[in-house]
Amino acid sequence: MSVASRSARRPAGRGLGAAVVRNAPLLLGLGVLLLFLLWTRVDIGGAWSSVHRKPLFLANQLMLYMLVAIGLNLISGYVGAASIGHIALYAIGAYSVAILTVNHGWGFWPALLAGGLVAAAASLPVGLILLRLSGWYFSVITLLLVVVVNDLEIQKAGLTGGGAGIFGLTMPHLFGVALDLRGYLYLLIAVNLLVFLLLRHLVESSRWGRAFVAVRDVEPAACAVGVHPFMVRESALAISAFIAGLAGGLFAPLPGTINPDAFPIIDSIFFLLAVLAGGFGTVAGPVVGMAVLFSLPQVLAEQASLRRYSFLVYGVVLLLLVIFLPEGIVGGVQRLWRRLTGRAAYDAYAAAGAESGAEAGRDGREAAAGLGALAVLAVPRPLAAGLRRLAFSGARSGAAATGPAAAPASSRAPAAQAVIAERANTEAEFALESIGIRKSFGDAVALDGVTLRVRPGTVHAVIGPNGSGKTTLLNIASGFYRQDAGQIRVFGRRVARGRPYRAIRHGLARTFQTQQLLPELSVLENVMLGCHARGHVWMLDGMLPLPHVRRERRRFQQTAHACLDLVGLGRGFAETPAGLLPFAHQRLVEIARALAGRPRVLLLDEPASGLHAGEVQAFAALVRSLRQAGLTIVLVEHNFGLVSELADTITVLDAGAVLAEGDFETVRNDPRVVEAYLGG
Amino acid sequence: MNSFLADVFIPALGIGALYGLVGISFNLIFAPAGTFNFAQGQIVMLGGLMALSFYQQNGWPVLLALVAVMAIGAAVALAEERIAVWPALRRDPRGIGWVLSTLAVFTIIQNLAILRWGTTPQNVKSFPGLSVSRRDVLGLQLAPYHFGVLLIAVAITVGLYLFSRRSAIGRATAAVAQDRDAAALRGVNVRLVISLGFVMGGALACLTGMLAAPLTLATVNVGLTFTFRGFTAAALGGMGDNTGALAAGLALGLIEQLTLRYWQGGYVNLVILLVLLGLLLVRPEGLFGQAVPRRV
Repeated sequence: MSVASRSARRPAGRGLGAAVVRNAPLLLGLGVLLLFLLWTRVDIGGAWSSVHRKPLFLANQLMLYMLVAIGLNLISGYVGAASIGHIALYAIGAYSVAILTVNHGWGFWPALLAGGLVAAAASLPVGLILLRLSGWYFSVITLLLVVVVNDLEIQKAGLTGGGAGIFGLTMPHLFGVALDLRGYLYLLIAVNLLVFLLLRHLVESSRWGRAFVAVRDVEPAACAVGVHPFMVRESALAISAFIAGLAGGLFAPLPGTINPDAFPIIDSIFFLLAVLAGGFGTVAGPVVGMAVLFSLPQVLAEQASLRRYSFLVYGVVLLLLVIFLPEGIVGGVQRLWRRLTGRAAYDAYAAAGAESGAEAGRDGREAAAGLGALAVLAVPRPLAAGLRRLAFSGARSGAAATGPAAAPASSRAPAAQAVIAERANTEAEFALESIGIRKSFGDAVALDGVTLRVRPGTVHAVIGPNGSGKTTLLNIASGFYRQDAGQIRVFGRRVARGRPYRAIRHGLARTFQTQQLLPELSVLENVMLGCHARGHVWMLDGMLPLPHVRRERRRFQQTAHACLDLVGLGRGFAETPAGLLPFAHQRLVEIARALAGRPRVLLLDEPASGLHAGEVQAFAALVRSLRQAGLTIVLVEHNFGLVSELADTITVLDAGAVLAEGDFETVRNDPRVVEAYLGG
Repeated sequence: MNSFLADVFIPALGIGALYGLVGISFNLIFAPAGTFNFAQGQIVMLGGLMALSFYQQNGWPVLLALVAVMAIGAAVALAEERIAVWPALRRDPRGIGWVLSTLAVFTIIQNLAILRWGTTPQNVKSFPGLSVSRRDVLGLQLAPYHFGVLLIAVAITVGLYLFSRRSAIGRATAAVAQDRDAAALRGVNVRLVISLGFVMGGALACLTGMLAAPLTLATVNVGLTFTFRGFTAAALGGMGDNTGALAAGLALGLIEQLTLRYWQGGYVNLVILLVLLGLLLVRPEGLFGQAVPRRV
């Protein structure tokens, strides 16, 4: 998939035009449907021989398949695990309803709910595969699930009626009214609309939309901000499976008979095809894709001579789509839209860049940022209150110097401190301790009992030649690697091994050597991802337009703006897609994202590599202001000049062991260090 | 005990060897390309149907049929690589484009085969010297076919091992499997190595299909089964490990025969899926694979 399709947010831009584009697929879908309804008023009985060919039946089935596709998009589009097993989940839902209503005398509606739940439960063991293996294993195993479910349908004849299936399902009653095909269609449209809106709210308005895309595209960064990748995948799969089961359950009374032939494996591929055609990971993709593609075989089937080719056509269309239109119809429209509006976005960005980059305004803004940082981070309460006022005035003077672009930043500075409460300082002697860390990869010993203690409120640099184990140590401290021995403590609290998504909850944030941003999302959304661990909205309430969901989103926005101010990226950048920013600014966004989790210890992995001298100086100023605010910073860095300038303490690693430790002068004059670096 | 040997164990070896071969054909593609070919089972299926046409219906000599079948298998896989896999891989090496495009090929091959051969399973007579009918060997009723298939599978595994260790192109494949970029920097033509993987994988898949036809009947419906079993063999053995795939394939054959004998045929896939899920959760790298540390 190209990155262009991977957008969790609405297309750039606001106003009526954007609103129309955003809702176009929905409107289009409803329009198609309306046409369908009008069409079914026309008697074309001659062309349709059996009940299954009747347009109303087909319209019902279209709605059901659309429902499956909307759910499938969640796990396959947003979370990035392509499921080929949704026809099995659909079948499980249908069989559950058939068995419960016909054999056990349940009412339709409770049976329907049970069908969704059974499908969700059936998906969970399959999802376990995502715990430790990459996505394509999941795809294959979902394919195997279809085979197994089909086997069981035939084999467990006592339960499922075997090959003949279950007969005698009747259309359900709603509010005492027996539903006919037309009434059922209205019901299904309502269900589709409801599910569509719920999921759209989940991905666009709750913290989970960002988490989904982050898990798909930048899993390490997702972990670092506190997203548990497996839980996200498993939950999204369960929701997706529930919807598929629900659709299957709703299907059951339509033909009145359920047998294994109703659930061919090709339909699973068809679901994926529809989602792909619409646009993977776009809210409206499945609606559009299914509406367009569903009509294709019907058109073909009308010509008896072409019917045998319809599945072949599916395959060819799928292949052509993957190769020529990987972002799908909606993705393509969005790209076009961005191209049309992108000019404006770029101009806005360029203007903001020119203004905030102007040397005149720089100092004032940096000072404001630094003072903001003081107030935001771990400082005692009365001091922070004083600093807030200072920062406010400082920011204002900075704004005066930088002109209009920076003005919003200054007005946001007090908001920054208002949203970010101070963290109480603990009495712990050390902010971060690594005690006797040992790690080997196969036969190669990367770290051989490294002990390192970082005092609170200092900048502690870790340097060493390539391969000395600096990054390994950082990866262990943040939970990405599992040490063979030794422990990590943050403010005296022991951190569990190999759980990177837990680090931020201990107050440990990190950045990465290679950029881990979501290029299609705005700068603001990227930083808001950093707030994830501070959120409380779960997936189920995230689907609903509840006040606390909106409040959390607003709180995240404020925090993110505050953090952007801290790193010196003003409001002008907030709406720019992160991928458009120059490299140095992307680095700053990463730091802002790390700060958004409100860490007490910040681990920076070679933050200065790739920056030019001026940018390095700006970065140094930022680090100083963060330290001043009481944040503890661990700096893994190659740039000796920068280290000498910033570090209170330097630890030199060599061949997986601590070679020397102390302030810059001590370390520089240590003969062993000289030998390690200059080769004796 | 004798009947267990004759009815369960020996057939398990023959059928398991076929699964192992499909697993190896997955590996041949997976090692250099890093992709799982969803359409592979369908290429196996094509092998069986082409054996039906060339060998049985047209009466070609078995060797000529074998060469033709393998050549067509190689050509189909190569075409798949060029048209479906490489464009998706080039665009986004870590994306799921190739999952979808190989699924598309899966569908296309299946439906083309239905158009050409229909859906009725057909019998393919066994090859000269390899009878599927049982005869008395040391007091047991055994079919030489099972032994023959096992021998062929072992020979292919050994041959591929020697190929990957001794030949330059085999070592280049191993290098690409380990680190594509590093291999490219060292002058390995990665594109060619990936294509070769598909050619070999396709040829082996078709060979396996031809070998399987006398046992399973030639039918368009075996494609999914072979994808199922072949993947399971490859994943259990450790993706990329041919010896592991053969061993796991034999184990699968045994599981299948045991389930058939002591439970019911309809549960074979269920049992295999459960074994697969259970094992992958404990050892994601498979029985013989090497754990790869995560990169951050």
